Amino acid sequence: MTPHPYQLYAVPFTEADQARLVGFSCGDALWSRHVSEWLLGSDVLDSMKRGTRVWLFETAEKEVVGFGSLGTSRWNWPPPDGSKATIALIPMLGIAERFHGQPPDPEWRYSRQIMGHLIAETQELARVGREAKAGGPEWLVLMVHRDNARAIQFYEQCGFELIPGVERRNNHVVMKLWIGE
Amino acid sequence: MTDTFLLNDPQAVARLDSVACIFEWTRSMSAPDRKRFLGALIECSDDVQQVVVSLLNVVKDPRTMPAERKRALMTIADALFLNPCEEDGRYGQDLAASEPYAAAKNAPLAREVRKMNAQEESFAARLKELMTAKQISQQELSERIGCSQPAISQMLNRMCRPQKRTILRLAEALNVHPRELWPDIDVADMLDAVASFQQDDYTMTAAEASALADTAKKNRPKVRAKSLPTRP
Repeated sequence: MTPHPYQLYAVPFTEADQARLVGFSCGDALWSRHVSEWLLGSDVLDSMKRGTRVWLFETAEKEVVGFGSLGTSRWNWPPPDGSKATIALIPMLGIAERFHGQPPDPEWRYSRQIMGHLIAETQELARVGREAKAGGPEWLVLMVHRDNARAIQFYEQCGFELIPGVERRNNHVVMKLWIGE
Repeated sequence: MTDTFLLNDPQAVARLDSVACIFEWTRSMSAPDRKRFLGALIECSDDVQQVVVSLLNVVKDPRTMPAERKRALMTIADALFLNPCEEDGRYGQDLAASEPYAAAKNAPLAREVRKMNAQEESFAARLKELMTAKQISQQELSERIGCSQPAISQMLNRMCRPQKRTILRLAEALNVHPRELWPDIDVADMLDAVASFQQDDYTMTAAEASALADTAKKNRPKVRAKSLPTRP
């Protein structure tokens, strides 16, 4: 069976990929310019050192459509509790500008394939954590610039909900998705 | 050194502060490291000393961003031989020459240095342009932002890299948005925000805690969760 022409493939990212990614751009908006800087600079490597997994998403022709990352972080419940919770989070993801809104067929839309992959990988992480009784993550969170309406709408379509009353550095809001049982 | 130097130079007293800060800082080092560090600092040229002291001020400033702090420490280490260059390993090598050495051994650093060189070049050009357009002399600008005229001259000649707060002060003095001087200032801020989002040991705010503790309000995925295949 020939694969669907819009099928994306997940390729684990390594430092050696940076050379061929020069020119990768997600656009010129305030919330887009740093995305390629993250992938092409030292930030992605720093993040991988602390356990983040990073994939490039490519077409069958090996064109890089975008990338995504998935990590976990240990957050403290506020005092007096103070105990730790493992949170799955998406440090960064991006789709090259020319692939925004592509392909027109929503079922094969690249953005949805990529988010579907990140969610499935998080669910797997949660399942392994549950089976090992190691307290795997129950939430997947991401951070998005509060003025990036298009991204917020997309994340909502994927099921993410805005956490009300939370603003992180540089006008970022946080969204959450349940990935536990 | 003469007694008159100690007695009559009020600036010498002001400089004590940075010397004290260096001694204080080295107290956390092991004894051999401290000896090595202070020895190197005394042996290197005046120019390098000056740069190291100004970088230490950057390091200790609470407003310095983590990436900036790391860069400053790396530059100090390089300037003072702590990572001796293989070519000659001598003390107090030239600061400007240390960058290519370090960069040659480290690919991400090489990229960073290239990028920063390009940024410096456009920064110097923009600063020059704005000063001409607003008819502000180096002397005038240095007074407005509280630095020395030679420091401005060095920035214009790409001899020193401005810190973020210098850019902010310059922008204020020239009445322009910081972005006009350093287009990537937003990018640096955004990358810092991303890095802090991943930090372990983050304590949730009340709003975050109540949203994440409320596991009754599960919002489940609305897209098909499916791992993508690896290459055929």
